[in-house]
Amino acid sequence: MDQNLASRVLLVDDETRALRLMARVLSTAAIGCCAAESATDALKQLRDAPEIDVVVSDIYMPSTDGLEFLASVRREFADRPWLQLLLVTGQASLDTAVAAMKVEASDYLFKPIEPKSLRESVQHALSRAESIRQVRGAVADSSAAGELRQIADTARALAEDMRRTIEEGGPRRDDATGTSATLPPGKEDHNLRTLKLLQKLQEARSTIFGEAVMPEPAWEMLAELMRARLAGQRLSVTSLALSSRSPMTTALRRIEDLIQGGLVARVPDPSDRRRTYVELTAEGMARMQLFLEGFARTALSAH
Amino acid sequence: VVSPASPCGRPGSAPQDELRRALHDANGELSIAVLQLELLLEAGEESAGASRYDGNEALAEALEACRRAAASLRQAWGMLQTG
Repeated sequence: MDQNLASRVLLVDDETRALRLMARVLSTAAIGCCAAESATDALKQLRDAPEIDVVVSDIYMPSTDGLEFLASVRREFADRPWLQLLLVTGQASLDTAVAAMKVEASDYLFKPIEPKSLRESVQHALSRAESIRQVRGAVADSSAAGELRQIADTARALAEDMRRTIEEGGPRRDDATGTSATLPPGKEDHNLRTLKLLQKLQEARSTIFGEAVMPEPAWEMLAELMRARLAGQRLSVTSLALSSRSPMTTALRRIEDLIQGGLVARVPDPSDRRRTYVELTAEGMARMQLFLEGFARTALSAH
Repeated sequence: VVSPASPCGRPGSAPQDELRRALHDANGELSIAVLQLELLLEAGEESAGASRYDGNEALAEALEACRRAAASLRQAWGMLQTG
């Protein structure tokens, strides 16, 4: 494997050709890696090299149970929560998804692996590992006290902003029905304000936790679709995917999930057949409204 | 850690496991062929890349992987016919 680059990635596969090719793919993105042909060898390398941040492992290897190997990695290296596990599998099945969740995998790649997907997934995993290391370092380091104060200030400012939003633009309740009253004309839609507040909270979460706490792409996209709807804008598939702050392939999968779930629909642009918009369905819109009003009401009662 | 698993992670009957193994092998070989060909394409797109990536060697390995994949698929097909 590449000796010139610091190896932060461990590739595990009993097929040496696969190891060599994956290493070559990663080397084109200047990602150094080491390789292991067995679980035993991989565990040894992990013990000897704490700088390894990402493990890419085939799930099925004739002589090794890849899932059991990854579970043992989690057990033995519980003190390395930044370790990112990427599963490689030949089939997309419920079993695979469940297995991925059990070992807290960052992602899984399907064979045949596309070089671009491999690079993106590994890059993403490396960034996440780095963020987690930084957060842990900041907490452990007493010189990070200033940063912690800044976080506390941000949280206080957010709380104040939330209180003001609720006092000025919170939903007015019809006492008889418990439903929201119609907003006076010219007043900003309280749903939009609540949504903006949620986005601020999300931004604060990102500031405080970094990528250690992953964005939730499906939720990010639902919120963006709602924001666009309330602002009278339309979103293309690409711009929606970008708003998810997740890898494009992940975002596209989540969009498909949302479509399958009946919350989102594709709408062709009548003026340009090559372009497709995505928007909330009536069901999606109703659920978002329900959620936003519920959130605002809960926040109001908390004050 | 060293106990073998079935390709779907759940043990089945022996013929089923054999069939899965054959299909898994075919997929694995095709995956290698695809990676080789993708890398070859990428190297072709960068003029500098051609020098550090041996096209003939990659093509030969991709071809060999395709042959192995075909053999695994024939094996799986044979099992399906007899099963």
